[in-house]
Amino acid sequence: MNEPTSFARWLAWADERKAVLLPAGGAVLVLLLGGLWWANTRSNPSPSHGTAALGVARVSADAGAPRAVAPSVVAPAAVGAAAAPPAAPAAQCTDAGTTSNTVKVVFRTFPPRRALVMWGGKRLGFIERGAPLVVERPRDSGPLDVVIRADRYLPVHTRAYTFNDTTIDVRITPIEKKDTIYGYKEPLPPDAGAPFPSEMPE
Amino acid sequence: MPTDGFLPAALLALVLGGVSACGNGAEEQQAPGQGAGAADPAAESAPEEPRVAVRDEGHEGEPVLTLADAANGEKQERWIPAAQALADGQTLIDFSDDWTPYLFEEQRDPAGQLLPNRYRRVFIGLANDQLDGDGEQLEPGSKNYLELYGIFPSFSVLRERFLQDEGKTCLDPEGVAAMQSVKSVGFPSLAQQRRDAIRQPKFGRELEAARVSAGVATLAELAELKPSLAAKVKDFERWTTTGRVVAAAEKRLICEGFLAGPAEPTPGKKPKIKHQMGVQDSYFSNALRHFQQKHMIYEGHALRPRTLTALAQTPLQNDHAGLVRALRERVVAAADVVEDGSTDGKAGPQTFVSKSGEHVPLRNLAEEYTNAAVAQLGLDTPESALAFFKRHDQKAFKRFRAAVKLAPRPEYYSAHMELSIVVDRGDVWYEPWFDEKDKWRWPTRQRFPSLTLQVDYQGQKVPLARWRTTIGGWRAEQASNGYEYYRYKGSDTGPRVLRKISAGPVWIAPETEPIRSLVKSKKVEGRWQGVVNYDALGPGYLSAYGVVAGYFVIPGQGDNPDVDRGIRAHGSSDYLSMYSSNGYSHGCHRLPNHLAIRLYDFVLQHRHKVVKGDGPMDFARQFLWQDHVYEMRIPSRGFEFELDPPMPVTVLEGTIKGELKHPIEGPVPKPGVRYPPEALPPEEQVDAVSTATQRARAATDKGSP
Repeated sequence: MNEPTSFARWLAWADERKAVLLPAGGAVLVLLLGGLWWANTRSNPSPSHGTAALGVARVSADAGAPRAVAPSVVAPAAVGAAAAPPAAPAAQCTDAGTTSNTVKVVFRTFPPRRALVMWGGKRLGFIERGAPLVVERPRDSGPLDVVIRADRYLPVHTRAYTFNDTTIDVRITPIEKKDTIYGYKEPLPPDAGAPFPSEMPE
Repeated sequence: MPTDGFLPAALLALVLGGVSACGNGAEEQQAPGQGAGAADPAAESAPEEPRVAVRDEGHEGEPVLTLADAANGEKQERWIPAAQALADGQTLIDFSDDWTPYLFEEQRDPAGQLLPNRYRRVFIGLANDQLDGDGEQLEPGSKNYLELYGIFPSFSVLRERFLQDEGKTCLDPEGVAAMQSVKSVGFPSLAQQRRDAIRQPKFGRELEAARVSAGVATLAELAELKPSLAAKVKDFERWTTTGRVVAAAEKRLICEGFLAGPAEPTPGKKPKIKHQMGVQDSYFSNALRHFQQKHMIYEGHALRPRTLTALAQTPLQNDHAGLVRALRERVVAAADVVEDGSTDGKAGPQTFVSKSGEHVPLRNLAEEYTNAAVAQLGLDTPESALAFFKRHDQKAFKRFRAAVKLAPRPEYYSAHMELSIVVDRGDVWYEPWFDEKDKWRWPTRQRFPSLTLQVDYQGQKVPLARWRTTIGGWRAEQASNGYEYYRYKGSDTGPRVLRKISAGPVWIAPETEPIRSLVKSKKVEGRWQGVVNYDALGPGYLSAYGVVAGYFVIPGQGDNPDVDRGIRAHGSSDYLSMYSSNGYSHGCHRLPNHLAIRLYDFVLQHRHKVVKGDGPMDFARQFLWQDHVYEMRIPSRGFEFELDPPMPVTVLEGTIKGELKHPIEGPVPKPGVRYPPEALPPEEQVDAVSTATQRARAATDKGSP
C-alpha cells in the first residue's frame, strides 16, 4: 500500500476541521468583498466633494438604461447678481409634462478600461471595465468638457452636451498606436524631405 | 409689420380670434394654390397676413406702450391693448428681454408642438449678459459686447448702461479737443514708439532752442522761416499730437473700465506686466477692441476715425447710439423690411417703376422706420432715453411692447416675393499671393465682392440691399500626412439656389482644416484645459458661419439630390474681413452678422418655407494634437428652414485679374517647409520640390489647371 500524498493528508486535515474552517472562510470572503465595495465607493466622489450641480452614479454595464444608484442633484450655484438666466428650451417643452429637469450623461470607453474622467479641475469619477460612469446634470446647463485618462492610453479630450440623456462612447488608443490617429505628424527623416527653394538648382 | 392700411377689421378679427399663424403648421405662409384667391396668381402679391410669434400667442389683450398728446401739449405715455394698436394700423415693437430675431424665435411643428432651438437660450443669455458662448453662466461683472457678432444688448442691459453712465463724463475739454483735432492716429510698432520716446523730446528741445534764437512765436513759424527744419517740426508735432490723443483715449478707456490704470507699486513685489501709460501696446489695443465692440465700430483696433468720434462723445451719448442700434434691429424685424439704403448710388437712391408708371425712389426703410419709432416713443435724445429708462424698471422689460405708426411699405411687398441673390465676385486674382520666402503680397482690388438681394417686380429687378461680402482665396490646408500646404479655395460661379437656411449652424471642419486651429485652451471648473475649439465649429457667434448660414447648392435634376460644393452665405466671427481689402474666405460669402440675420429673417418671411427644426446629428471625429486625442462631437446641424421653392442665386465671375485665368488646383507646398519624402494620397499628390511660382507658371502654360 502506498503512503498517502501530502495533498491527501491536507484534505483529511481540512475535513476534520471543516466545522471551523467553513464559517471562517465565509467571514474572510465577506470582509474581502466589503473592502472592495468600500474602496470602490471611495474612488467615486460624492456630489458634496466638489461636484456642485453634479450627480455621479455607477451602473452595471449590462443594465439596459443607465440606472442611477445614488443620484443626487444639486441646484446650479447662483453666479453673480444678474437676474435668472433664460429658461432652457426643455422648460419650454414641458407642456407634455414628460421632460425631466436633469439629464444623465454616461461615459464609457472602448475598449473597456478603467479610466479617470476629469472635468477641468474636478474629478467626476472612474469608468470601470464593467461599469460606465453616469453623471447627472441640470438640463441644458452647458457642456461638460472632460478629459478621460486610462493607463497606457492617450488621454482623450471630449465633450458631453446636456440637451438630453446621452452616452459618450470614447474610443481610447494605446500610446504606441498614436500613428493611427488623424493628425499624427510623420517625423521627418534626417536627410530627406523637400529641399528648401534656396537649395534648388536654378 | 405695417398693415399698409389694408384689412384692419380682418386683422382685428384674426388677432382677437386667437388664430395663430404658427399653430397651423410649419408651412407658415400661405402656399400657392391655397386659401382665398388661391388659383389667382395675383394672390402671390397679396398683402401679408400678420404673423403672430409663438411667444405673443394669447397676448392680444396685453397693454402696449404708445405716446399720446397730453392736455399740456406734451407727450404722455399711454397703454392700450395690443389688438387695438394693431387694428389702428400700428406696428408692435418688442422691447422684451427675451426678444430674438425671427431665426431664433420659437417655432411649432405641424402638430403644434414646440420645436426646440438649441441656440435660442444662449442667444437670449448673451443679449442679457447672463451666459457665455457655451451657454454657461457669465463670470460676475463680465459683459458681452456682441453687436458686431449680430447679438444686440437687451433693453435691460441698455437700461443698466444708461443708469450707470448718468452724470459720468469720462471726458475733459482738452481731451475732446485733442481727439477731435485729428482724423486718426498711426499705430507704430512698440520699437518705433520706444525710439520716438527717446528721440523726439531731444528734437523738441533743439527746436525750442532754434525757435527762441529765431525770435518766432511758434514752431510753425520756425518751419516757415527755416525750411530745413520743416520736416523735423512736422514729425515732432505729429508725435506730440499723438501723445495727447493717446493720453485722452487712455483716460477715457480707464474711466469706462476697459483699461487698468497705473497701479501703486507694492514694496517687495514684482510688478505685474501691464499697460504702460502713453504707449499703444497690446493692452491699449485690446481695450480699444472692447470699446469698439461695445459701440459696434467696424475698425481695426487702433485710434481710427469712428473710434475717435465715439471716444470724444459722452458715455450717455454713446449709450443713446447703442439704444438706437438695438431698436433698429427690432424695428426692422417688426416691420419686416430689409431696405437700408445700401443700394444708393452717387446720384442717390435707385428707382423702380410703379404700377402707375411713376419712377419711385427706393426708400431706406430701416432708417425711416427707426427714426419714426424713436420720435414717436420720445427716445430722441440721451436725456429723454434716460428718462424713459427711469420710468420703467428692469422688471418691466421682461415683457414690453410698444406701438408705433409706420408709413406703408412699397407696393412691391407681398406674401411671397420673387426674391433672388446675385453675388458679384469683384476683382479676382488666382496667382499665389506668397513668394518663395512665404512673404504674402496681397493683390490689389479696385472692385470688391458684393451680395445683392433683389426682387422681381413687374419685369424689373429691384435691388433691395447690397452688401460687401467675401470670396475665397489662398488658404493653409492640412494634408493627411499631418503637414500643411497652401491651396486656392475659390468661390465657384454660375446659377445656384438657396434651399436651406440654418439658424445656429454648425460648421463641420473638414479634415483639411489645420489642426492647430481646432484646439484651444479653456478654463473649466477652475483649471485650464485643452478643448476642441467649438467656438469655430458652432453653434455660436464665434462660429465660422456666425449665427446663420444659407446654403448655395446646384439644384438636383430630376430625382437627383442637390450638389453641395460647400459654399454658403453666412455671418462670420471675423467681422472685419468683409470690409478689409485683404479679407478673403475659404470660398463662402461672408456678411456682417447683423445683416446676415436681417437677410435671412426677411427671406424666410417672404418666401414659402418649411420649418424643419433641429437637425440632429451624431457626429464625432478624433484627431491628435501634441500627443493628446481630441474628440470633436457635434450633436446638431442647427435649426433648419427649407425654402420651397428654393430661391435663385447667381454668382458672377467678376473680373479675372493677372495672368492666370483659372485657379491652381491641388495643394502647393508652403515655401520654406520641409516635407516628408512619402507622397500624399493620389488626389493630394504634389510635386514636392516645386514652388508655388513654378506651379503657377506651369498652370499658365497649360492654360488650365
